[in-house]
Amino acid sequence: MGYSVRSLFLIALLSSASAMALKPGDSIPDFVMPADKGWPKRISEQLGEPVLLVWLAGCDGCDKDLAMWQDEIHSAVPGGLTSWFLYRPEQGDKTANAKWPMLKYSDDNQQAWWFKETPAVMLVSPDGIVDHLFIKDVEYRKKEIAAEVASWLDAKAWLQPETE
Amino acid sequence: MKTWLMVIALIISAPVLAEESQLSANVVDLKQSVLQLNRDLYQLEEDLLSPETTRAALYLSLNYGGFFQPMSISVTIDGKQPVQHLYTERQVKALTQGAIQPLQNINLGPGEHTIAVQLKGVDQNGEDRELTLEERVEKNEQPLYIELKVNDNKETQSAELLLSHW
Repeated sequence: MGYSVRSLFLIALLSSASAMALKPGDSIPDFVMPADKGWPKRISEQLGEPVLLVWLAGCDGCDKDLAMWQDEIHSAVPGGLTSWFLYRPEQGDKTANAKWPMLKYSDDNQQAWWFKETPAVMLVSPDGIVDHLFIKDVEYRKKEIAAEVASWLDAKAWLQPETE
Repeated sequence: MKTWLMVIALIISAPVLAEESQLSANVVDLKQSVLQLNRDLYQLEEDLLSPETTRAALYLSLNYGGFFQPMSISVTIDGKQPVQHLYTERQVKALTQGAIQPLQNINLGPGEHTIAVQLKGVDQNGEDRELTLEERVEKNEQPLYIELKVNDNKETQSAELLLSHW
């Protein structure tokens, strides 16, 4: 009995360690993940500029979906914005091509974490604060989210960290 | 009349000013004591967590990096939990400019240990390349510092992974 309780506790601890629940106002914990092409990316190295993170629920040959995200954001923000796709590759997934870096999460990466709710879109302020978080029906709200991103960038009214 | 008033004010305030300066000197002393105590506690913590007999550290350096640029490293000692790191472009740039990366502080008991390194990256042509190394190192009573060096070998036009310790 004691053994199984300990095992359950350990499993819960391990699973909660990698899946992160964040809300607007939280500082984004650092992570580094390898990219499909090019160098691994570390979020803390982006401090000083806004970042868009698109957490994908999955990506089995999801080129079309990625292209739609890229086109919508590009149309709304022609000046450009550092944007990354993040996904958990599954065995047998078809490789997708994207202009933005495709960051791969894996459980054995000690320097990474995975966002608890996917798909999700996260806007990170230049101070490293989760400024906006879209988690509801994001797949069907690309245009609306892109417009929000544009007005967020225009306003530059970055959210300040929460104080206790 | 005014002069008299000023003299009286000076006489009254002189002891207060002296007390104030004594107080600020005490505050400075106190701050210094706290800093010293903090340093001592840090040292004590270091000694307790990682005494000299078991203290070891891993470092990585790149000699020019013309033939190899690292993307990830995995180091296992005696086959135990690996030390892993992913390199960003900025970090590799720092390494090529001569930076030495403190990879990890570890605890190692005195005796012989096997260190296995797997370093993945790209060569000068942008092709995937893997450098591996397995060596035995001796840990004595003194701290052990292990440096993993990626060396450019001009004769073979490729990189090699070397290990040095002191």
